[in-house]
Amino acid sequence: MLRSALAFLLACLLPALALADSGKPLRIGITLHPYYSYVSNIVGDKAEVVPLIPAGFNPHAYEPRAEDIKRIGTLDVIVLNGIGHDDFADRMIAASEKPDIKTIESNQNVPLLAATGIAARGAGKVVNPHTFLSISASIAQVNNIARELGKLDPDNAKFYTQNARAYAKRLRALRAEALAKVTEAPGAEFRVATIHAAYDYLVRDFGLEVTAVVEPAHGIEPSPAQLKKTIDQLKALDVKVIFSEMDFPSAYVETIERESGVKIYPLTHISYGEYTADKYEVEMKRNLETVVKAIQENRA
Amino acid sequence: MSRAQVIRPAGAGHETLYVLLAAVLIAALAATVVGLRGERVDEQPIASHQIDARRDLNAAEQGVYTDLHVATEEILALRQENGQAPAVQALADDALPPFVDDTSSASRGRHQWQWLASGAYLGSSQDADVAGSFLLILPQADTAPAQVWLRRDHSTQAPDDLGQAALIAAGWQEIVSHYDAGVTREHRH
Repeated sequence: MLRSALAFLLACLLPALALADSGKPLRIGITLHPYYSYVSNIVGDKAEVVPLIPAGFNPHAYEPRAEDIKRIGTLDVIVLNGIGHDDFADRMIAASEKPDIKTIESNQNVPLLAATGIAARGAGKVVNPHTFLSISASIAQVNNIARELGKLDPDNAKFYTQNARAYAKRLRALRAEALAKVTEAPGAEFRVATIHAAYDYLVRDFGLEVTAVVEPAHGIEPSPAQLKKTIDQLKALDVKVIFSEMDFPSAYVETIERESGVKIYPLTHISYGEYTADKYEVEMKRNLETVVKAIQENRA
Repeated sequence: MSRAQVIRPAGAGHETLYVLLAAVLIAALAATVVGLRGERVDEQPIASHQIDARRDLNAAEQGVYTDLHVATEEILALRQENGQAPAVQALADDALPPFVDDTSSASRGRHQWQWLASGAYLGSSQDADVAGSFLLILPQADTAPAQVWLRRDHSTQAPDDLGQAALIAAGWQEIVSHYDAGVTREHRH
């Protein structure tokens, strides 16, 4: 009697246990702030998004810590930029308890631009990894991520695709809103320089091209001789606007503005602060507004 | 009794031979290690009728191409929902680049888009010096990839035949983009 009751109880429990296991929400690792926003908006409350690097670390200079590597063991999948902005993730994954964890290459098939400036080593094979600073390239990544997550979690695949489309629509609206404020397209004489070679994708959304990159390498300040050369170059190229880095304020940027007479507008790299679902939209809105303001104030 | 001791001169002869042998050995060893552990150079050759999105397009064309790539997903989703490809006007109303007429399209060649009944969107460039004309050919099945073709001359004629041979003969080139995943990464994926 007792045995049959136990068997009955077990029979009732087993399916529930199995369901709990397969129905467990995915734990998705991400490496950079924009990807936290992308994935959070795709999965809603159906999965958990876990940053590999705690808030407050600079992804450009991050060295993996033991506790961060350990956390990978609790994840089901990791979403990667994969084209040069999160190379640290490979080392972390290799050293973790799950070296074969599934990864999603967000930039798969996204049209990429070649790296410019000092990063352009390797005979044109190195690409510019900042695809997340363009609305179009972000939507392409959001679609990729949603599709791959759907394969891992088929029950929610449709939900993910719908969310990705709705998110893409909101991102498109941000771009449309910004472009609507620029009533007249800037001509070829509207030349743009950037301090850090990150914003090629962003200005491409506006139909613009970066003419010069000022910084010799990321985070390295130019020497006085290099600075003079840069200022002469900016004057010779007749650059109208320089986009600088909001998150790395530098004294030399002011020197460039004073000496060259070219106005400087700060943009954000979206790599700092807390991870939030709306961070990408909030910061991209500001970036787009800054570009619009630069065009409006400096149109020839 | 004196014992004659022969002392060979230093250098020359054997030492040179040994040094040479050692050098050959090291070179052979290095070649083996490089051969076994070296990274392959994954050059992806493209056909003569194709052009590379990263190297062969200018900034304006790269922008239009990226927008088309993104728009294709939305177009295919709409086609699946409604049973037919969306009209150009509907895409513009939905603010879907590159079909929408805005500042960005104005500085990228002001393409005029039209739907071709043969199953493609044609974007005729109004300024061929800025960007060429684009042709987005939708796949029959939603899961197959779409094709994007480019034509840089001033012709505004719509293609009658969307077959590869006909397009090539008419002067169109297919745009392809390669994903060189992580050229800066230690582990290839």
